Amino acid sequence: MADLNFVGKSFPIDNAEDKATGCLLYASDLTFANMLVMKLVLSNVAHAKILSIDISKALKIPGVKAIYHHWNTPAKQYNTYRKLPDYNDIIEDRFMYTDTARFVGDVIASVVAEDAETAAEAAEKIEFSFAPLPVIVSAKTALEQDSYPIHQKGNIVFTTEAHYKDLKHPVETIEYKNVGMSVSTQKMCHVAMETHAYLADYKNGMLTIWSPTQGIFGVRSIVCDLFGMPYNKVRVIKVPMGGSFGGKQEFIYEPHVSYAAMDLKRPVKLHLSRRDAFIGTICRTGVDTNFSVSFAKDGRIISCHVDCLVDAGGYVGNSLHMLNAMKGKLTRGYHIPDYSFNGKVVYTNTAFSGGMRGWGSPEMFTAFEIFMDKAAAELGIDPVEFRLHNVVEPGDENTANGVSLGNARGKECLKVGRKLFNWDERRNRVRDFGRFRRGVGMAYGAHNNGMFSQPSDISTMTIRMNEDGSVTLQTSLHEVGCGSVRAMQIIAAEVLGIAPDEIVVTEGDTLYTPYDLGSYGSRVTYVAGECLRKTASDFLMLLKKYASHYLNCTTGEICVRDKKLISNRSDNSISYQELATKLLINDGVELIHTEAYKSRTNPGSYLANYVETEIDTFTGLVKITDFLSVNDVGRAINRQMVYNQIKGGIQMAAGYALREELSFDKNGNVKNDRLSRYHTFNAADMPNVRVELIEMGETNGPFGAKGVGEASTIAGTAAIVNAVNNALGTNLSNLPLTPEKIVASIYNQRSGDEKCR
Amino acid sequence: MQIKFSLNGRKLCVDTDPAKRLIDFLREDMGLTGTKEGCGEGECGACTVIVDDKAVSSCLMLAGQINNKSITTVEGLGNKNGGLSELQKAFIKHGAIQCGYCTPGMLMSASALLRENTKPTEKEIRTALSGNICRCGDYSAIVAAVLEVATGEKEPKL
Repeated sequence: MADLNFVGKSFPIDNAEDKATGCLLYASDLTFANMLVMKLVLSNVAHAKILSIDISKALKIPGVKAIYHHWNTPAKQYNTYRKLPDYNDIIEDRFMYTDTARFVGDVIASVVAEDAETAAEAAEKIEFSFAPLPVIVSAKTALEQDSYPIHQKGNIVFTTEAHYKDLKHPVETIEYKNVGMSVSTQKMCHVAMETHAYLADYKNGMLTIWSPTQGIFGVRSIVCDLFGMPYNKVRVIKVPMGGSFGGKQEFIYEPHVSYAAMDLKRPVKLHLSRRDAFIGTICRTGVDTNFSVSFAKDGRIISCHVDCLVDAGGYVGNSLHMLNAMKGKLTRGYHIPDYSFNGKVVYTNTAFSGGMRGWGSPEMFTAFEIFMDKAAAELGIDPVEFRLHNVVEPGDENTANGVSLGNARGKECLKVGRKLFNWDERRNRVRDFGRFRRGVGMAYGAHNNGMFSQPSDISTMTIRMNEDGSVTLQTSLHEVGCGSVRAMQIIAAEVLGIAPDEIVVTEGDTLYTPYDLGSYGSRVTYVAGECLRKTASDFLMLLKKYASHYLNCTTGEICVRDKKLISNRSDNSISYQELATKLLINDGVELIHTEAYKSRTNPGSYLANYVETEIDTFTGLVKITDFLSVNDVGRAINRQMVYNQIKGGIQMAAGYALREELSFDKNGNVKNDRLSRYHTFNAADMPNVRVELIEMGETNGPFGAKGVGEASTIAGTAAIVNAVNNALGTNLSNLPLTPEKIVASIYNQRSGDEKCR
Repeated sequence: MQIKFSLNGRKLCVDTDPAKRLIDFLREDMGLTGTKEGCGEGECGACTVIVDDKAVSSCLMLAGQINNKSITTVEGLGNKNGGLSELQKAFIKHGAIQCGYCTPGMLMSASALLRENTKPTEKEIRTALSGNICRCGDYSAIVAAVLEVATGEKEPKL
């Protein structure tokens, strides 16, 4: 692919200049004439029945237009993740406004007023009387038979038991050792820099919603089905968003602004405060995982049993679907001939949770990779060598679903990383015993490319050529800030021989742009990108077909250069501009082509991370002193953005490993509902991450590309934890490894040593 | 209250509520929505503007406090001819901009640093930007952009 003109080169994000000058209008920047402002009233108690609500004082405040609550809004339940009209196994367990507060942050009312100050003042004046109910903050407590039911049907939302055997490669070895371990990973906030914002307006029977969502068609399904409206009377427009990372994947408050706009016949805007975004939208789910794995003497996995307990919080959201996805995560990365998975999703009185960047992959691989280090130590095998015995190879199938893993290059990632990091030497150096202790760790990971074998992995695109030969690509893309629009410009440019900047790519607008499932499951580059490559290639054939009439040659004799279609036979040519204008004016033919693409493959993206950490044993603070990430990306479309994504993914992985936890006291109060108490990694903390790409292509990816944004964050957490464990000689597995936990483990080690003496 | 101040090089005298947060005054009264709100408590840096050569969180300052002061927001960061400044160009070139929501604040903090210290080291840049969160998170691209402006090196080595 050496002859590519644009694919694999580096481009800034498409609207970088607008972002650098402050003129890009994000959802939170939009205002409309005559616009009203909504303020949510979120519960301050974790579990209570609302006995009564008195809105009389609040309504008297001048400027207050309406107050909505359970008893004056539609009493229909919905699920904030139902992105398809006939989605399987959807549990609809929440109202727009609840009659029972199920966690601190549950929506109990909203105020709509002329301005934000008035709305906030009125929100304070609403009087509730509550009957407190028992509070459950731990998933393990929720499992107990006599735990107080948070929803009518009890606290166990869903149970799954699965057992898969690789019949093609049966086990022929005897067990040498069985290793077990429990790992606990925590709830974590997405912390998109722009908090959630929504606008709605209702005019001439048409409801318009402006949302920085990851799925406009999902918003439409939820809103239309909730209010009984036809799908063509609700228009959802994707607007620029300041980050998502999965935080804007669900359709949480679009119904609220929509209902208010239809009721009041004025535009309504809701922009969440940071606290409301922390407690009133989704967070990464908390998971307790247990492994019991039997190994052969050479380190090969014979069988693996996983027990997984997922904490959904107050409502199920996407937790059920995520648990189902989690089943097939480890078998994407490892060859496990006998694999069983038992999983449960439970309700607790904590923030409702679901997917965050990686959707189950970071949760499963973080736990498993911490376990694998312990197992490697017990078996006396080097961690890298140990993994090399067990990881999948190109052409292997995922044991859990029989789907091909494609050109799976995890082994290359491990081997290249081992060499570049100088692993063997650094791992075997003598351990420090002073105040500062250095250790090295590594971890491996794998992630999907799209939703297949689920049936919904669909993108549709329309390419049109205007009279001047310029190209417009109509898509329902959802740019979340990681360069999807730019990637599409590059792919279209490569096929059509036009510079990326000259191609206009739309984002989603349900009234005007064709269907797309949305920005989910690392599907955008791999599935939407391939949709575009096919659509653009067929569009080029169409151009050649029409041009062949003007050039008196066959389509096979036409090549494209400088926006011209040139006959190899005669050297005659026709420019894109001439062709488009002539066809339209003379023949009444518009150059427009639409194609739908349904993905029927789901290969893996792979990575290996190598880390060095330094621990201050006095303070428990961990410094990441070196980080190498090796990533099997198939092929980079926009090289610079691939690097940006990987480094950003590692920043989140570091937070997951060491700092970030949305935590609750025993009454369900959130201990850190603001950024002054919830710490992400900043410029001074982050090391200069070294990135290496493995580009060996993938059959069904556009120009061989696979997804990277989510995959990049999967291995870093365990690699950091393993480096800390290496430095301290511990098996810490209760995340995050805060200074308190590290100091406590050192203290316990010391007192253990004293006792031994 | 009447406040007199200079905003992006223009001298202004405006009648406003002095108790209004500076960020709201800039976004609502002045129509400059380039300044973003990320936390409302001075922790994320998205609302950073420059007041008399110092980077400040505009969510922690009141409109009345800018009386007789000079304010620069991201909208005033371009060069004199209305084009992009070297810093803005470097941000674009190094891929320092992803979702872009932290970008205005990040640019203002970096700009204030460069006014105070024209040749900062990588460590000084990282310290100066440590109050600005970028959740997309490739801080090295941002640091490289600032370092290019400081050192003139096209591909500064971090």
